[in-house]
Amino acid sequence: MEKNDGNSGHIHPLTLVLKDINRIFTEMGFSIAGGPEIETEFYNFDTLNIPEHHPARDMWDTFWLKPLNARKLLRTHTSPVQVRFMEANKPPIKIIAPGKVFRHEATDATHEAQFYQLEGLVVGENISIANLKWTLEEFFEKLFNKKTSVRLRPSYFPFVEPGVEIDMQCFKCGGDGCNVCKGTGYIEIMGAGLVHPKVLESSGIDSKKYSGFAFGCGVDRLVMLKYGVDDVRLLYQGDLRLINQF
Amino acid sequence: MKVSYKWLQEYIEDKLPEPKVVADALTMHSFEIEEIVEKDGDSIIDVKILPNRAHDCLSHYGIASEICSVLNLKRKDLLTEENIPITDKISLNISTKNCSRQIFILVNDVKVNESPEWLKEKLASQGSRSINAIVDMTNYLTFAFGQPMHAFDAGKVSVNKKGQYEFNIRDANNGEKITLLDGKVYEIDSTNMVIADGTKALDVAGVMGGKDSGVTNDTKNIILSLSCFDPVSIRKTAKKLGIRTDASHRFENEISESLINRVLPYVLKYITELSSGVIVGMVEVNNNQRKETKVSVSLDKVSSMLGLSVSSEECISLLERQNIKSVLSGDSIVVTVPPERLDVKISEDVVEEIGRLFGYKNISPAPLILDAKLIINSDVYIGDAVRKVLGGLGFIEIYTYAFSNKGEVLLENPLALDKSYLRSNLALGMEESLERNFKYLDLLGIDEVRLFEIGKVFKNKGEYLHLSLGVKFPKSKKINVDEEIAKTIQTLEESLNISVGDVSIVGGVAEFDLERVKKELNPIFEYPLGLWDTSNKQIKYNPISAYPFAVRDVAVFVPNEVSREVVESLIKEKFTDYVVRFSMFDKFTKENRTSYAFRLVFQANDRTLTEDEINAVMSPVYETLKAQAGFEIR
Repeated sequence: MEKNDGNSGHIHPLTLVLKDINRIFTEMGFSIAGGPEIETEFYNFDTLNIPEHHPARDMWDTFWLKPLNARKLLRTHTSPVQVRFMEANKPPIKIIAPGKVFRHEATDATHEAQFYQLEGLVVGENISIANLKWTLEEFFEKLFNKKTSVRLRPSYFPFVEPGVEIDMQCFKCGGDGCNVCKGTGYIEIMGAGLVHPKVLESSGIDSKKYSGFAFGCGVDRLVMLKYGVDDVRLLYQGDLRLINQF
Repeated sequence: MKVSYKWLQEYIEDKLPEPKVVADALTMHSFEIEEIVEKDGDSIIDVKILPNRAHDCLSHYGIASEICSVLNLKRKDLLTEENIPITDKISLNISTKNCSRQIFILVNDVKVNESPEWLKEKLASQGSRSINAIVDMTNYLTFAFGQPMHAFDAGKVSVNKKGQYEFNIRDANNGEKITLLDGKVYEIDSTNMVIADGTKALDVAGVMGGKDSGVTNDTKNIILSLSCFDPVSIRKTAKKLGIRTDASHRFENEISESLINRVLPYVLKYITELSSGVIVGMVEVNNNQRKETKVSVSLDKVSSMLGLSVSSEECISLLERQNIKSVLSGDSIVVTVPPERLDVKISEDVVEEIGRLFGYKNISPAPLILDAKLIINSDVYIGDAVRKVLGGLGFIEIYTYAFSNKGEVLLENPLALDKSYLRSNLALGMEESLERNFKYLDLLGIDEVRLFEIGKVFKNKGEYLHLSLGVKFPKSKKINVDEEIAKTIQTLEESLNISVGDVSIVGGVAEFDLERVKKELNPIFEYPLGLWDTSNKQIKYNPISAYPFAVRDVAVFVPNEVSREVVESLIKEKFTDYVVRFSMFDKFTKENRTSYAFRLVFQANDRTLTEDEINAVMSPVYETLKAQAGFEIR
């Protein structure tokens, strides 16, 4: 039985996790970057080394705006924020880009057509996979209040090379296997990699001198994991039966 | 791609370890594994091949070779190319830029047999139906080596004046029609490519063969076709016709023309074995003889990208395991890219090949030491500042959908007709949320609804960050909702030392642009909501029940000297798990007695509660209260 908590204010769980993300990364010296939710094809795809008619485009189901020939869309990731930031700022760069993104896909308990993404970008000299690993371990440890390690597996995203999938050691069982990690000890949580030289160059950064890492993950998924929310769609219903629990 | 474990072994000299070991090794060094299914004494491993390796890995040989790279196993030698005579019985003309290599092989006097068991088994492992030995062979070799191929019935191909079978690979004519193997008629145009004879299209190139020119039981002579097509052209055609085949899937992922060389000896071997046909000869056009490419990467770069030092010997040996030849030249590794490895183009690609075989798990985390200029985000700042004030005033933050049935910005491809616009305001979603949540007051244990939302709205001129506020009270509270909102806005202005200007308030809902307010704030680096502390609260979400809740009230007079806590504990003793909320909603004293009124809310997670189940709590509550000296149920 719940206690009667009266008419007190509540902050939405997505905001709570975004707040944690912003705090953790600000403390680590990252700036928070933002950008428009309506984007151009150029910033959402072309500058990110995802050419039209490339099978890789299938990875992002896209909402297009009318008229189609204007080539405007709802951003499918916050990567355009990274590109715009790189165009406007010189390295060293340390930013996160949290924000709302859209995917044209059927919705169910784990898929929404709108959700929040957290992306991060670091550009400097000699930025490595080892730095990426360290940064993410710091982040997950602070977010879940538990020492955790990350595991990298090969993956492919056109805007990074090498590309990796990030699994975090299960914060609930610590790697022994439980219902949260489906018995595997790890939770698939992020895509990441070292920024592709083409992406650096298209933003006016000398890829001979600078390198960087980038990562991206779903904030909604972090909310679901952290608080045990079982259906992502509940986050957008304005339903106090959910929100008042926070 | 679903690969058969037994089939993989055919290309590997060493004995493969257990399927689970193979799957784990691929997972950590190459590709994700979707699942392993045991089937007829075999294991079918579903490998999620990454888009950049679809060039060379969309086949059993491709995956087997990758396993050899990862587990350091020895590959079996493949058959090498046999000499096959050039025939003058076929004329080949390519007039499109989208076909870079084409081979036709004429085989006479074939018998169209049923496939032998081993071949049927191979196809079954791929979920592919056996048709006849010739068609089955073309499919088998596609799954084996990744090079699609097709067999034409030579008798259906037109013959020119010189008595040659006539083939034209060309862009289709606008309005040209063709019936494909699926039995459907397709209209094609000049953006599609066809393999045609002198009079008609026989095949939509790279996608599907024509119904009329396929191999049947009456076929005497066949012409086998192996091609290399432009990936974009095939992708557009397959998309336009709505057909996805094993062939189109491979062509659109760009396969190397060199795969033809790999499969050709097997084509010649199996066509003879399976059809007893006589190979007359072949014709070939190859406009795409790939030159050997070299990519070099400095050892410094390998170390600085991975964040650990790897010796040149180790780099070379890790590449060698992948059949990638490399040498040390000065301080750099120079790689000769195998023709099928279209993914290896730049030095970073080589670093990936070294890194993933070396194993990312062997890279230790290294602190990020890099100072960059801190820039404050004013959108985040204003949002958090507003949240902090409103949260403190008892307002609850909601998030609603950006899609709406009204607005100014239209979507080209909405998910549903009533979601075809982007919202132009937050007020609509606010009104709906106020209504909906008002029904849950008892369940939530609140007696009013105060909501706010911060989010983007979309207008013809652009997108704007808005704040909306809404309140709804029961009539009994006798509060003017618009005045309440006005008061709230005033408090917000005073707390943040800003002015939001004229805001229209209708039915307890107000909305305004945060843009102008942002300029008045002077953000500092401490984001305001950082102070909204949840760290000491262990929040665990309880799933919302989909079933209705029921409300029951009980009011009782008790002697003044009996405390509220005593009354409450008497009631609580009778609770079951179905009582989800309990609160006192009224209290007054009359002479030497005090009346307490309590509200109980009942709900189950798995069903609608019956009257009996509710009474199973309420009756004992009444009984126990009645039994107390001086108590009287009202």
